[in-house]
Formats: sequence, structure tokens, C-alpha cells
Amino acid sequence: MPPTPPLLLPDHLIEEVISFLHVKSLMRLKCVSKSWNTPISDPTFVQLHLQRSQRNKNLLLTYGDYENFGFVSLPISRLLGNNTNRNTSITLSSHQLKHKECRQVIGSCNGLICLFHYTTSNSWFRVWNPATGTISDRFGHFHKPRSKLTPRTLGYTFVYDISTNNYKIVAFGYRFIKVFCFNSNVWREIQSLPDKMIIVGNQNYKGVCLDGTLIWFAFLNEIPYNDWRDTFSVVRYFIISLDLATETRREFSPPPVFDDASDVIDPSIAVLMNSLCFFYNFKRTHFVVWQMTEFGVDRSWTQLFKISYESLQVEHFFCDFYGMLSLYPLYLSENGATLILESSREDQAIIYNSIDNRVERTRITNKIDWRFSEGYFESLVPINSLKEIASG
Amino acid sequence: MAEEVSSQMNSLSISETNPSSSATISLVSGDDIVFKVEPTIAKEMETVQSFIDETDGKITTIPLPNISSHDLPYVIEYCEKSIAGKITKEFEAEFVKKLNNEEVKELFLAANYLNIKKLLDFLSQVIADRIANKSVEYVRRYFGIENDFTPEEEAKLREELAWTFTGVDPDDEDEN
Repeated sequence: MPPTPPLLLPDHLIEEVISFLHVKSLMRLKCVSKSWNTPISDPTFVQLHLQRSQRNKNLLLTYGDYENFGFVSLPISRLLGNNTNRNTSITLSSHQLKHKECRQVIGSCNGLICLFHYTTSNSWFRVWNPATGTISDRFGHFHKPRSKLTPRTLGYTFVYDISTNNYKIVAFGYRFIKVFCFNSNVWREIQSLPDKMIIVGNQNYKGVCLDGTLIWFAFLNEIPYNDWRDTFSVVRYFIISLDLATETRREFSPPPVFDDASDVIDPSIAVLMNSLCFFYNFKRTHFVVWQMTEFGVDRSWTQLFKISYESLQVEHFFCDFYGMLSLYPLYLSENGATLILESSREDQAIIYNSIDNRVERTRITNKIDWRFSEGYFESLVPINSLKEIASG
Repeated sequence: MAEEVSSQMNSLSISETNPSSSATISLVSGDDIVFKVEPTIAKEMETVQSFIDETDGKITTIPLPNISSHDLPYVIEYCEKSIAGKITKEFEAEFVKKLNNEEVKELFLAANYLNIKKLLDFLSQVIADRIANKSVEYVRRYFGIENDFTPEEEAKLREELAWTFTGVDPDDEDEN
């Protein structure tokens, strides 16, 4: 009996199906036929695939020393997945930066990763899509005079401004916020800051991004900032946000936890479960997370977690080789039940389940630095979507 | 179980309008089998619900000529679980285990025709998983697609994309 011909699906349904595939499979399937080759590069399909892919969240974790830099991409599902073994180890394939003429990962947006290189005289950026294996030329060069009189740049954040469909790099220093826009290919100072205002960012001196807004942790210093002498004495903490579309700045308060400021250790901010969160270590006995349920509304701060060090099975030692204990959140599951943390004293992720107060740990055998983790998901977004950069 | 009424099979003649059963909706498959379902199930199927709405609820027997009596119980089962909030990874794994490649495609077309977004997304993912690591030739056969590249064009493209050809499963005999 001859085989029955396969049931045919209309083109739009085939597109629907293949939008769920990983980039590597999709690229291979360009060879299926001409009618498959074209849509896979089509902006509408790229967008559809992006929407799907966003759900497959990864942590981008960097590793390396002066000689050998790179990163690995860790699917969150592997940390949350079946935890039959209490403690597991994972080895991941790595992406090396060595041949990319860059030594630092700035961040990731829509599957694109922004890389940075600096020498004593020059610096540049490149944007890389590791899933499709394409990389941009160098751009955003700026000479960095060694003069102490020039305010130093402390942190860069790679962002996507959805209102103008533009990728940007935002830099901040002690008295300024600058933005590099791929459309104009120049650095532009957009905000100069009051001289007592010190931006800190998150624990990595970066802004965190939420719905077209870039947010930094900051404080008001007792005396004006002086480049010659870093003297910090915090008068008041606050949060600064920058609307990427309008480039306007707003300030608002952290949760009301600073009555006795000495109890609040290593405060910082993160975006968890698509909300701005504020976290700190309380008296070196608990880890606390607050969530701003309505963005920009001070009174919407709600405490999400107050977890004892005992529950997390971490111990605080005052001073030894490893230094002080600091905990940072990496990810909060969509149902708000599972919190993944990183500890400055451990080389493994701490996975805390608030429903049964259970803790598991996962080690990554690649020598990664948990602290510099970034959210990542793979995409088909082409490098030439950065506008002139590709043609330049 | 009290809710068992939902997916019972009845022949067309038995179901002919009985006023007391007007609360349930009768779905008639392409091969003339009637499936009585609760209105909440019909609500999950946008195509069915809009048909009911258009007639102000007067018509409760809905012909679904594009859907066979083989597929409809699967659709109903999925909708029941969905309403009960009982769609778990385990249920989904069990659900597709029973279906061969052609059946998954059939059900996918049914979900599209009935406009059940959740089922459509789920089956898209299922089909994607089934072809994810397969060869180009396998995928052509799976979707019945003709290769319209010249041998030269195809060889060139394969060379450019050589890095995507690692880790591909060997083709097994057409599984059905």
C-alpha cells in the first residue's frame, strides 16, 4: 500500500509552529525550501519569534580572567527543573570573547549582547547575536583622557527604547548621564546631576530596565562630590528613573526601612517578576525583598520576602578570607514562589522555595561569576537592526 | 463522577432536540457524531461561541464539518482540563503521548478552526519539539514540502549554515 500523503498545513500555521523553535533549528530549516528561507529573516517573523523566545529565560553569566573572557547562557528552567537531587552541577558550553576584540559584557537586550573593550587611550563597543553568530563593527568610540578632572564613567547599560525602536547605551558617572544612540552614532549628555547626588545603580553599577524606563539606586551625599577625594556619607537613599523615550528624570523613595539605617546592609534594586524590587540584608540575619507593585508610587512598596539566613542555610562570618556575606536575587519565578539567589561566599546558586521553605543549590562547573549575571534569551534579531552600525 | 455527561457520545438521532437538555450544546462532528458539552466548554471554543452568540443562544446544535469524531474528544478533554485549571506538565505529556505525528497535525488544524488559543499554542510547541532536532529532509516529509532550491543553491546555503547541522537526530523510519 502506498503511504498516505502527509496532512498539509497552511503557511501561516507552519510559521506559527516554527516560531516556537530555537534559533539554531530555525537557521538549519532555512534549507527546507525558498518559502521557508525568506520568512525566517522577515521582520514580522523575527518579532513573533522574539515574543515566544522571551519565555525561555536564561541567565547570562560571565567568566574569566585577563586572558580568557567569555560567558555561558544558563536556562532558568534548568535551575527550577526537577530537583530530585538536592545539590546538582551543570556544565554549559561557553562563548569566548577573546576573538571578538572585547573583554567585557555590558548587557543583553532582545537576544543581542553588548560587548565593551577599553584600553588606556580608547574604548569601543560591539553588539553580538550569539544565537545567529553575527557581530557588529566597533562603534561608540570615545577617547578617555586620563585627567582626573574628567568625571569618570561608572556604569553602562544596554537598553532598547521601544517608543523609538532604538537600541541605546546609557552611561552614568558621578555628575552626568550620557546616552549613545545608534541612530545618531554619537554620545550625548542628557542630564547633569546635582553635585551631592551620587548614582550607584545596582550591585554591578548598572541601571535596571523596566518597560522603557531605566532605574538606578542613588543617594544624597553630605558634601558635594569631589573627584579628588571620594568621601561618602549618606544623607538619604532614593531611586532615580530615566524615561528612555522622553529622557526625563524622576526620583522616588525606597521602601520605608531606613529608620535605623545600620540594620539595612547592602541595599540595592533589581527587576523581578516584571516589577521593580528593592532588597537588602537585615542585621545580617535575614534577606529581605520589597516589590513596588505600582511603578513610581511610593506607597505601593510591599514586602515580598523576609527569609532568615538559617532557612537559606547561609552563615555570616565577620571577617575571613571570603569577606562579608552579601546576597543578591537573580530570578523570581512567575508565581512568585521560587527565588534564586547568589551569595558572595558561594560559587553556586541558592534556589529557595517559599511554599515549603526548602533550599537547593546548583553549581555551574564553568568558572562563572554569579554576581555579574544578566537576563538573556536567544533571538533572530539581526545586527543591522541597530541602524547605521551595520552599514558603517 | 458528576461531570461525566460532558463528553458522552450520542448518535445524531438520540440528540434530536429535547427541550429539557437545552442547557447543553451539541457539537456535530464531520462524520455526524454528536457530542454534548456544557456551555462552559463551548465558551473555550471561540468559533462555537460566536455561532451561539450570533443566534442569541437559540441554536445549540453546531455542525463542525471540518472536525472528525476521532479528534473532537481530545479537544473537549483539553478544554475541560483548561476550565478546571488542571493543565499540568504531566497532563500535557500524557495527552500527546497517545498522538502520532499525523494526529497531532489534525488536532492542530482543529484547534485553529475552533480558535482555541491555548490548545493552538500548546500543539505548536508539541510539533516544534518533534521537529526541533530533525534533518531538513525529515521536516520536508513531515510538512509535505517540495524542495524548490536548485542543487547548487541548496549546497551553498548548507555551507553557509554548516554550524547549524551539528547535533541533528538520525532520521528514523516514518513513525506513525
